[in-house]
Amino acid sequence: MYKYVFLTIIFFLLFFLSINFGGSDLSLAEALSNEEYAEVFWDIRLPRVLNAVLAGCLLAVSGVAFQAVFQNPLVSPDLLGASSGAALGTLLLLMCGVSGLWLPLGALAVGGCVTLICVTVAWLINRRGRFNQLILILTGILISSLIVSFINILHYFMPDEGTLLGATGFLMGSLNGLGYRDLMIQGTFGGPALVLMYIFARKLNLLVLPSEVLEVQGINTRALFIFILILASVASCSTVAVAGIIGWVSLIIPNFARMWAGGDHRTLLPLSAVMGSNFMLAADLLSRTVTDVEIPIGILIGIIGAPMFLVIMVRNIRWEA
Amino acid sequence: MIVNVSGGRTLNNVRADFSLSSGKIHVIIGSNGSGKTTLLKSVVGLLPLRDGKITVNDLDFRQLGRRELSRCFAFVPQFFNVSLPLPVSEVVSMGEVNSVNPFSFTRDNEKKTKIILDECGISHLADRMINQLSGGELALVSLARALMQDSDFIMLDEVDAGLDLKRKDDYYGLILKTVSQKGKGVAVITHSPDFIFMLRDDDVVLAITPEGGVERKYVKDVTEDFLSYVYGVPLSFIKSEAGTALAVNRQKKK
Repeated sequence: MYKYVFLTIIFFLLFFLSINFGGSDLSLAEALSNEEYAEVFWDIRLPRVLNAVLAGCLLAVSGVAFQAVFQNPLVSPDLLGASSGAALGTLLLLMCGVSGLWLPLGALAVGGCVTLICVTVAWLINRRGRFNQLILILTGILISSLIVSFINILHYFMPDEGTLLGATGFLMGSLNGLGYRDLMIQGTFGGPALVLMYIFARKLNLLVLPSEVLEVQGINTRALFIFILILASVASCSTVAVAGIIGWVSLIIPNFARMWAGGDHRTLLPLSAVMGSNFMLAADLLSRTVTDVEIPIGILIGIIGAPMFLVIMVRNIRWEA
Repeated sequence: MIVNVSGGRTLNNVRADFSLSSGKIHVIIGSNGSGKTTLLKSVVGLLPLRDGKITVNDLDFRQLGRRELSRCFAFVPQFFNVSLPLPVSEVVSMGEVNSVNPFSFTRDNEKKTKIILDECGISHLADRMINQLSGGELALVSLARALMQDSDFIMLDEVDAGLDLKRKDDYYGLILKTVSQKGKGVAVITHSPDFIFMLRDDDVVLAITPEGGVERKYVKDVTEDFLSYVYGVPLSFIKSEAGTALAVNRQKKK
């Protein structure tokens, strides 16, 4: 219990700091006293912070789900091409000159489709046998790398500077300029996924066990796999669609939460959701305040994330006696 | 409850014609690669049969739903591979879950879990993480899970392979106890055929012969010659007041 209290206190602390500091050197008190500044606060800073909270939450939770489905702590939702698919979708739409609401929705759709293609291809490969995670992982890696190649081709032939800038921002991942509209997109798609995932927390525990045992026990493992995969993919896609590719969060946070609170998903899910939000808030705060020019959050998290991941790996290695 | 396999042929062409009945222990023996595991998995429905059919109390196996099957068999795999941490008590208590519906709840789940952990003598492991257990502990947890499922049959796939002599004895003792106290049927694959000396006369040995058939014999009818034939090495029973031992007859190679 003290863990929740601790994390919640940190959360409010970070939240307060996040709305207090920003690129425009405007403290909370100043912002609220002046009408013109208040607009900056309500329309730019607050939605951005709220977006960061939701994004961190969704990424961490979908990471937890993916790791349970694949019974592997080193797996993340990017694996099935959700991120790269969403990136490809955004790039294509940008090139077609689409903007506004359709951009994130399109990205969401393409990301979802790519995930679906991965699952279908893997399913076709071993139609007869039980659901094989290894084949799904390999299919995911193949299709992701295929899509990355497409992205690079598009990038190479990108017609004009404006689109290039937008595309690069997306590929690096950025919370800059996110508004209430983006919050709504994340909320409407990610929110239900989040709630459903928590309802299914006990079933996520099941996924950790060997699937042949579950089959005999009366569990339709294939249906459970696919259902959880869809939930997790929707959650991560909805974040990628608005904020671009923000790696590492979904890989690192679940592992830290697991080290801290054990692997029971009934506690792991809420705990990593809060930890994800905290991490995202902190990273976003740093990205806005460390230097004069904002560092894209994807890059910043990459810089923090890689060493953190190394720590996890070293701690997870079991030395053979 | 009686499970009957008639005219069966498994994926690796073992001809199977036998029946399992609750309240009895069925020891499945055979040499390496003879198809013991495939046979066991075919019976519980994890693998298909090429030919033949399986009936449970005269009902066709294929017409039973998932949940009915789960009341019939519990399966204990040879290796209970888990790579993510989960408390042992949670692993065992989930043995009872037989549906993906998150709102189907199970009554007295916690109490039952405690009782079963006690029965298997692993109460002290309840809060340990499953991926940090030793092989022997894992075997017991895996058995406890299967007991939690409360099925009529428990099918064990060579779980004693990694256990030392004492643990093996304890493990067998536990199996005997569940059969005699709860009236369950057990099918167990083992490479330690001396297990049969612990069994009652009317328990069953299912031997996969070198010809690829399944021979069903009562324990009292198992002879030295029969085991020697199954394993392809000369074996003898050594009887003493302390019990019976099984030994391979060795000679100096010339």
